[in-house]
Amino acid sequence: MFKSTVLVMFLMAWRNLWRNRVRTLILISAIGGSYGLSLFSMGMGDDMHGSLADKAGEIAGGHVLVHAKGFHADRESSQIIDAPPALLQLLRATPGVVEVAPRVLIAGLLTTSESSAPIMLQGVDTDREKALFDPTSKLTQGVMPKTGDGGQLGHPIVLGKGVMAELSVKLGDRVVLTSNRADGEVGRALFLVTGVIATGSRDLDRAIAYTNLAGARSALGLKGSQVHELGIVADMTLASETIKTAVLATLNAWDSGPGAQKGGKTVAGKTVTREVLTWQQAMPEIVGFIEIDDAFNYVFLIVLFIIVAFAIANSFLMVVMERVREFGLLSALGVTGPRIAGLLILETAVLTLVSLTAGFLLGFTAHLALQHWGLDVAELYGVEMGVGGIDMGDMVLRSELRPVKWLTATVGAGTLVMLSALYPAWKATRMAPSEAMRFYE
Amino acid sequence: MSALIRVQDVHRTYRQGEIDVHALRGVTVDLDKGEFTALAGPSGSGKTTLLNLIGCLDRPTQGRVLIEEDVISEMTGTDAANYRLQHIGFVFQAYNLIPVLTARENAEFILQLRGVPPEVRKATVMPLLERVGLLDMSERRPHELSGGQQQRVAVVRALAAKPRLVLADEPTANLDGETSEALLDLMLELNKELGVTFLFSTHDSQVIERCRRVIRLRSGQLAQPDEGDA
Ligand SMILES: Nc1ncnc2c1ncn2[C@@H]1O[C@H](COP(=O)(O)OP(=O)(O)OP(=O)(O)O)[C@@H](O)[C@H]1O
Ligand SMILES: [Mg+2]
Repeated sequence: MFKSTVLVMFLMAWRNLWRNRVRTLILISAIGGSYGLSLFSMGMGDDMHGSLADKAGEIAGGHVLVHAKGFHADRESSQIIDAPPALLQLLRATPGVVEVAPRVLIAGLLTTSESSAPIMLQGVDTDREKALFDPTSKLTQGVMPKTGDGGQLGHPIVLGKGVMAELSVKLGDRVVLTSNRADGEVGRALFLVTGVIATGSRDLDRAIAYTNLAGARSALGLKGSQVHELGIVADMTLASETIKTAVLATLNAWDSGPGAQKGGKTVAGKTVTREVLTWQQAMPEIVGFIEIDDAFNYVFLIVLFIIVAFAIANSFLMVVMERVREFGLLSALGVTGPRIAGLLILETAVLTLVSLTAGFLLGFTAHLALQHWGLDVAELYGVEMGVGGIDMGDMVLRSELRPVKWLTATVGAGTLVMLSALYPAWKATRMAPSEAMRFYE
Repeated sequence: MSALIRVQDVHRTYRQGEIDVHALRGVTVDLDKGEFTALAGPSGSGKTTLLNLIGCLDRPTQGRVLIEEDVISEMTGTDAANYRLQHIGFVFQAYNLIPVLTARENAEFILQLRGVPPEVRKATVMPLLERVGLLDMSERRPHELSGGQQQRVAVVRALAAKPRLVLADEPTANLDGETSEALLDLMLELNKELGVTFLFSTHDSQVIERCRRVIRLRSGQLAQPDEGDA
């Protein structure tokens, strides 16, 4: 009996939907369109945030950073940690860690006989940097400094295009770096220009410079395995907090283990206090931007859907009013109130299903298209675009599908549409059959 | 023989704003099984009100209505709806059919709600549709049928369900003389053949003449004489 009723109700629901084609098509476009749009905008937002996070990790110098306490804020040459090879090896073996790049960071003034330019010089192990950002790929001339390069003629240095222009130097020229040494004295060191780098960001190219670890250490008077920073590249599927915890565990184990004899625990006889930061902690502005952007997107989508839901509720209310006689007839024939409500809800369900299917196809097609072709941000905006110090001018916007988010949006949209039919359906059950009969007169 | 329907001192008062409208004021009447009865009376005399009460669509303010042993005047909501579905056939003045269903689907509607399998439904309905001359129109939607044809489909729907009684509120009011005559013939024949109890309201004196029994209402009360009781 129930099955038979459901069958005829379904038949009626389906045919009722096509009774007013124009209205139904408008509803389907409204629901499907806004749902498709929300999928698409989520896909685009997630991809942008993903790229932003990648970039932020790049700019920060790693997904997790190890410094001497205070270095992140003060950037003093004297804020040093010790990173002997055995400790680096141990860190590289820590679960979730892909690579560990030791760095010596120097803010200094580079001078020639004619001019000078402020630079941010990084003493790096080029091979270790590749996992995060490979400077070699951005070289326009020369080569990156290798471990062991350098000597009497000066340590090798690669300069940003802008720095080269500022100093009007060329490959093979010598430059002098003036900076604060670790002992507090002002020091000078001789470097030999061996390469030119162009990152694509004009600001960055006016300050960037690379040398090897030995070159940077000798400029600052650092010893052995002393560095300012360990940039840890992590498996991005894991949360950076997880990696941070693992890194801290490894460091603690090292300090209390036998390996600590080989260094790493103390610098110049004093125990160092280390500071381990995730990139989110190192670049809170980016995290803030992503959060605000996400929140804005959510609010926008929710408002959009509430408007659509009201339009649907209104439209269904009109349907109920138009069909008072029909509902009265059904009621007189013995269809109970709940089943009449069920009929309307079934109609809404069919409408929702059709709309969401259409919307999904729309959103998914747009997602695939964007994923395939991408959208060049620079071309789109025509100007340099940046967020929290991150240049996004070279970014190509694509789309990223996060199944859980899409599912949530689908369930949310479906639920909202269904909810909007509840009041009209309830209205329809409030009809006394005898009252409905009076409409004949 | 005990009556099929017993209406016992029924009152129905509508509240319209500040004033009470006494649509029925103490009506007592019995109907036997197989009777073919007209409910006559001027406009506003309470015919529709009484049919609604007997049809379990409305409840009296006072008094009782029984069908066999069931006190239908006390049924509400789902119980009333189920009672209508199982026991009462309706033919209304107009707008009888569900617009999105075909003539056949409309005729089968009650049976379908009762869970009768499709083959049985068809076997029940098709001969009746043939009987009322609508066999070749069975797949048409209501808007593709004339008023008289729609009324006939409604009669088929009511009869196919084999109800205890069929109630019709001015079934011929929207039809021309010839068509209403034909519909009346049809109902009379079916009443004879199948023994279905009919009660319908009407204004039409030609229709009233052909009924075996006439109940006359005036201002919500029975007007004497009630020929059937004589
Ligand atoms: N829902 C209602 N609210 C208020 N008054 C009503 C309502 N329904 C009917 N009435 C009043 O009750 C009285 C009886 O109405 P009813 O419809 O039963 O008359 P009727 O005999 O069927 O008339 P007609 O021949 O015009 O159909 C009338 O005075 C009518 O105005
Ligand atoms: Mg009436």
